[in-house]
Amino acid sequence: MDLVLDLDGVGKDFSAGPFFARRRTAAVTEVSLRVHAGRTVGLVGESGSGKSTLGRMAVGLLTPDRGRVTVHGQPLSSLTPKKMRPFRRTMQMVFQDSSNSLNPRMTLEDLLVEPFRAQDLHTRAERRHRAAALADEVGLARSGLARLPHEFSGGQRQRISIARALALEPDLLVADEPVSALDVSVQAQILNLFKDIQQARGFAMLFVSHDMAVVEFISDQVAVMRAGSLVEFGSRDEIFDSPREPYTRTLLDAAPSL
Amino acid sequence: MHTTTEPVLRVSGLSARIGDLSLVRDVGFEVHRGRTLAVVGESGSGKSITAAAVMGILPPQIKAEGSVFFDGTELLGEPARRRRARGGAEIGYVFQEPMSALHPLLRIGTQMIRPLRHHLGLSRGEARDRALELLEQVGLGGERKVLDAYVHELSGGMRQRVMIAMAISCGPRLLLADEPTTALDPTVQQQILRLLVRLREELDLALVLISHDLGLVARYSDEVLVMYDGRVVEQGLTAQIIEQPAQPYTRALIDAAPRLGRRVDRLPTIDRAVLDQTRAMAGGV
Ligand SMILES: Nc1ncnc2c1ncn2[C@@H]1O[C@H](COP(=O)(O)OP(=O)(O)OP(=O)(O)O)[C@@H](O)[C@H]1O
Ligand SMILES: Nc1ncnc2c1ncn2[C@@H]1O[C@H](COP(=O)(O)OP(=O)(O)OP(=O)(O)O)[C@@H](O)[C@H]1O
Ligand SMILES: [Mg+2]
Ligand SMILES: [Mg+2]
Repeated sequence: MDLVLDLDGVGKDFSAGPFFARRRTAAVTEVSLRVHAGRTVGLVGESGSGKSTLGRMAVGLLTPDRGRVTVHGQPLSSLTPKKMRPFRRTMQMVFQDSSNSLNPRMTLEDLLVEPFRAQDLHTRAERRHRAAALADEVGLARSGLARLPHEFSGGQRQRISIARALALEPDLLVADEPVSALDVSVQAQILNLFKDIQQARGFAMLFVSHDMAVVEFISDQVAVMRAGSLVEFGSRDEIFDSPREPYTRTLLDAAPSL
Repeated sequence: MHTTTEPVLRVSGLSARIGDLSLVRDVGFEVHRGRTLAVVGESGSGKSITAAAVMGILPPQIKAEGSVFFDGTELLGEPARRRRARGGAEIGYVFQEPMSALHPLLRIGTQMIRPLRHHLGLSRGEARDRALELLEQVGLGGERKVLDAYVHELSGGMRQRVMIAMAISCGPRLLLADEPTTALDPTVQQQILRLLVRLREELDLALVLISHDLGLVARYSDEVLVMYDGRVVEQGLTAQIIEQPAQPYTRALIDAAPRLGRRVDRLPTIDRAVLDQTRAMAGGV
């Protein structure tokens, strides 16, 4: 199977604190992780353990301080800005605070047309047609196409971000808590959609979530992070049936279930 | 019995509209001291709009009608200044999206200390100590740096916890928490809910918990309100509704909840027919 994402010992430091006492601390120490075409790796772990930071490095939105990110055999650090633009299309991210990444002055239709425009794809009519189809797929009524982001609910905005990320049919999707604001039925619709599209087109997905039941459904493999490092990695069944790390077990035990 | 006392919050006949588009229709519920009401329902069903109407922070183009009766006072129609003073002190609010509620250019400490000084009259030093103590309570104690940080320097779950710390900081009598734990891993989530339950007991706080997580609702709420398409579909005691929902929509919602150990290929969604029926029953079109 094709290797799509190869994280090789990547790490990232941030400096924080008041101006005269800034200290650098590692948000991600040194993580190696691979995601293959048609496969989903679920990423779980403590709040603040570096999951979002790792996800942003995986799609080239953040430059690692250590290690190497390779996508489809192409080390991201070797891409010039000019080469990066078309390459971007193949890597998409649904942000954890997705509402914040939506331009507040663009209507739903503009937001769904923009990815095509940015990549110079399709005619204007075709773009609008695709935008409407995307809205349908994530369960947003077409009657809302002329509305602005703040005129939607939290879960509706989250779906706008998902639709935008799927628009360009990426080979790599990093989805950071993509269904956290959705009721169980809409959540099920979106998760089924991810699976359908993955089966049809075989994208590789890194799926960050705190919801263990969701992770169990969507993942082929699961990675567990704590304090900037991977503490456990294994197949879905290994992690859920016989976790080796006490921390993984705690996560499973603490998950509220009906 | 709690139900014989006056509720802290009584909402009745609440509607919210924008032009002739109805967002919330005829919503009513009560919350009592020391109790938790959970609000569940479809994405877009009006949960956050209802909470915003109670807080008096609806955007100006959205008009609310009906009654929001808090501790002996009608809040709907109260002058904006009085309303604002109340919000933050007497009523705590955890926004669904912390990023939209926290100021991007002010340090967290500055944002936390301001209401503590204003509402509780603390000195700068006292307010700072209190802020550190609050951060400790939400599990950000080891992170002294949080006070000095800007919101973009925090992880999603850290932002959410800062928001919670701020909402409880002035000892509110009513706390409205809109999806307060969506960015928290199960262990931190548990810690936060235990904190809220403890405050509920210590301060006799009334808690409104908006959540799509039915496991959480089952475990931590006394009553539940189920919303669909801007209306209340069903309400009652949580244990009873989870055990024996009267409405097909509620039943379907419970069945659709992903459960650990159930390794299916596809997740069940709610039938079109159930949705249409629910909308018709609730009186929509
Ligand atoms: N731009 C930044 N500047 C400074 N520190 C940062 C920045 N971004 C993240 N951090 C820090 O890096 C650490 C990891 O953050 P990250 O957002 O990756 O965590 P996470 O695992 O996604 O957590 P959560 O589950 O709460 O979303 C945190 O301590 C955070 O405060
Ligand atoms: N300013 C606005 N203009 C027009 N419609 C709006 C506006 N704000 C919200 N709405 C609509 O009102 C409905 C209720 O929104 P609300 O935010 O209360 O939903 P919610 O139940 O909180 O959903 P979620 O679980 O997704 O957060 C949604 O269909 C939304 O699109
Ligand atoms: Mg994160
Ligand atoms: Mg909402």
